[in-house]
Amino acid sequence: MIISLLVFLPLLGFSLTAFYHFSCSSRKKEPTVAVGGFLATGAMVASFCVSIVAWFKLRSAGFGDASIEESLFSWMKVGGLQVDFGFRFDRLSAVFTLVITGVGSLIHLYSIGYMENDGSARYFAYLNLFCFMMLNLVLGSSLPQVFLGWEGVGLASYLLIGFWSQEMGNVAAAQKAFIMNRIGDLGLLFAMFLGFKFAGTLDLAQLSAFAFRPDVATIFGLLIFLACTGKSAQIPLFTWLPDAMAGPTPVSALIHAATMVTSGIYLLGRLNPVIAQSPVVMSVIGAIGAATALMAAITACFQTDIKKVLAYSTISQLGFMFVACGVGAAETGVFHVMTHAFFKALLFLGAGSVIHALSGTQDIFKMGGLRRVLPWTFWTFTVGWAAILGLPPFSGFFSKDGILHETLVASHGNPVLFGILAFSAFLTAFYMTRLYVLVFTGDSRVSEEAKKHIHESPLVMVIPLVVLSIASLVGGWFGAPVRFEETHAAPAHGVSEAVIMVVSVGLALAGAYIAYRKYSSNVRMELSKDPFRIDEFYLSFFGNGVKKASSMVGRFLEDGLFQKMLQASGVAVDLGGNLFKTVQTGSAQGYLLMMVLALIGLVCGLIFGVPGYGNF
Amino acid sequence: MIDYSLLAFFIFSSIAIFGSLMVVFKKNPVASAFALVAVFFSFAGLYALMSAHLVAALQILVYTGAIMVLFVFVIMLLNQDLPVEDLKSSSPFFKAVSGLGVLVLVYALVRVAILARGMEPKGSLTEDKIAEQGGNVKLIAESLFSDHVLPFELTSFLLLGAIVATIALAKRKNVAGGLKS
Amino acid sequence: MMTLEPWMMLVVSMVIFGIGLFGLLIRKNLLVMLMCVELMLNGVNLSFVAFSKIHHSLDGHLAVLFVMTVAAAESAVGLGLVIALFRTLRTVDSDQIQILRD
Repeated sequence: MIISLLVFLPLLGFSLTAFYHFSCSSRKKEPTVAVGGFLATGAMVASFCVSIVAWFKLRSAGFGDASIEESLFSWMKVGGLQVDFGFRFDRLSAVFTLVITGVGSLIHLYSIGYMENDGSARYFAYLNLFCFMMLNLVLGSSLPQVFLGWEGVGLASYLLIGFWSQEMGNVAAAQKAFIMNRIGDLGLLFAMFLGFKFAGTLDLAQLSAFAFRPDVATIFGLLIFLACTGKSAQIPLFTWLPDAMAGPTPVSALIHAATMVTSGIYLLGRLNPVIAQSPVVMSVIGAIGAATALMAAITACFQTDIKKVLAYSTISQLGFMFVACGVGAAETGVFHVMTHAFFKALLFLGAGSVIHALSGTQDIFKMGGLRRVLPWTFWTFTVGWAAILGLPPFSGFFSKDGILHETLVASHGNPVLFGILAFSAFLTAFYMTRLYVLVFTGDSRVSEEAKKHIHESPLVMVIPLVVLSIASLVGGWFGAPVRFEETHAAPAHGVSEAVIMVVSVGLALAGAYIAYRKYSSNVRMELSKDPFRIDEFYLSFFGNGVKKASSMVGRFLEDGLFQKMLQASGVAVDLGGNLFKTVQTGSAQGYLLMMVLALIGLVCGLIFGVPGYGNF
Repeated sequence: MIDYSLLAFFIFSSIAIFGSLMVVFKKNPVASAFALVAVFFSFAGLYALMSAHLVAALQILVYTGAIMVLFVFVIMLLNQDLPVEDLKSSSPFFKAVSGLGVLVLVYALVRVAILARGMEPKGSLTEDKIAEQGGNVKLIAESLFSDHVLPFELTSFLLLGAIVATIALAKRKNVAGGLKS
Repeated sequence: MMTLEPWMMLVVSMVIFGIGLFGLLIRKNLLVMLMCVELMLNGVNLSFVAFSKIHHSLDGHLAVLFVMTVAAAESAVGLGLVIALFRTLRTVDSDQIQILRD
């Protein structure tokens, strides 16, 4: 029952925290962050410990295809459909579980410091709910259970983005995230129907072992991928993620960088055998991933909000992971999920620390010179920066370099994808260095107002930063041996791994150098802009288009056709009403008698027969 | 030699029919309510005669135990203001049409009942088989929790809805413009 | 020699159903009308059990269980309505409750 334990611990934490919140508010007492945070964090840390035990248990079973299965109860049994509520803990789930519980615990801890002023137990309850749902998503043994988690994390994300619901903008961002995710969820739902119709089962293991007809496999894969584009913010459903930064920063770190947005990769990894049956789906995934990586990286170069830069960077990195899945190297993609979870959570928490220190300022052009006042944040952020750039020996180097390599050697790889990703990596180095230089070096451009309150973050916030920076440094080493010992059959295109390494590090350094030259001195204010204007496009195309179409329909149908029909029907109703008014006595039993007489007529017709129709 | 089950049937069914007529024709609602209790008990007897033991027990529990208490309770609650006599009888014409209609309906239905004498059984659960498989309570329970589990769960929603509705209806509240008691 | 047969039960059930229907039509007291509805439901229950007996099947018993649940919910809500009506209109006469007509 070890897996169930680790899944249900956050639920326990959620219940306790929620109970605490309600018991406080019923006694007209302000719930304190300390108690709520302690309960929630305790549950997560316990869950993390249990998942480590589970990891060792899995290791002693020998990795490979070994898995720990637990079936709790039969969830649905309708006709031929049998769905068990249970958990399956294998290598893929294990990586995700450790990231969720590990990074989750750290972010819970960090939140105690970050939310000290305006947090409440409600916030921690939501965080715990999120972790529970996320664990359901990655450990569920069947597709409906994954769907449960999928919707559950969407709910938690909605609640947390709109946590500061006093401001309309936050509420709008929460709704946007929720609605855009629904579009993707439709894909998952239809994929489930399709899976059940053709494979007759929704168990993930059986489903991924099933050999679909080629056309069905293509449609199934595309539907699954649609779901993934929603949750993992890929083209065309990515615009919710930058807006989701309206939520508290630890939430952005946990949900919108480290865990929830990578659930698309999980799903593709889990159903990889089915996806791989269709070359069309593979190339679509690769193309969309590469396009997203490039587009988001370009957009990130023009953003001025520290969290938005990181948000676009997340979208771009997710694009990298999708390319890895698309070329047939899902393992490498998952490896990048892990390292990315470490360094992106670190970067977000660092950003949070900066925002916290500057009393809420998020514009990077109003920062600068923070190296001296925020030493802990500075050094840990440096580690995150080096990791996302992919400098050896930081973790990002191993995974990003792995993906670049796979685009050339994997079964569905091609040099175009490599080119796009390499350029995106170059841009990544550019915008991250721009951010880094503007925030931490140079002269201070902090407003006088904010300068008064500037302070290094408390210990509860620094500890997670330090732990995550260690993880960002060493996180890649676990995967590295696997990668280097693999003997690839003679590298295709005649490019060896070493060359790619040199190219990727060179590109990163070049990007960093250009950004450093541009922004280290004579900083001029820039305004945030979105070079692609996808949001406005959606608004004008879907929003105004629908408006125009409906006004046209309104003019022709409403005024011309319906109005006349309505008038005619009005006259008819008036006549009929006068006729039937006599029957309406208002006595309920009078109506009842009419009903009964009609019923008697029907029954007698059935029993004695109607002339010309016979009886039963 | 007299068939006791037949005798019991006649006793119970006469009580049931006579009691039902009392329910309809007694002017005082309290008298109607007590006649209804007698009908419910005799129905339990009829169920027992058809070896539907579970239904017989539930009949007593649910109808005589719960529903009748509810009725009597409401009568008691409204008692002081409730007219003892029926308020105003229906017009003789209305009564005649209703009576005639109902007679035709009952005649039609009784014909179906007589047709049912010659029906071939469709199922296979004869009395002996039910006993062999553990009695009808066990069989009903098995069927209820496997084949009919969805309707079974839905009835819980129905009951929940009824509880909420009843509370909302019966709660005293001062609606703007409404009368309050 | 006559023996007890299920069709006799059917006859009883239908007669009771008819009496209940008749009462529902002619009585004016809402409480008595609700009692008549219970009578009709009981008549139907009896026919379910009788048909169950005829067909050697237990499905009729299940139907009775569901009907009983519905009857319980119905009488609870119905009596709640009677109380609410009585409170606002001070009457349980179905002929005086005609507020929907206007």
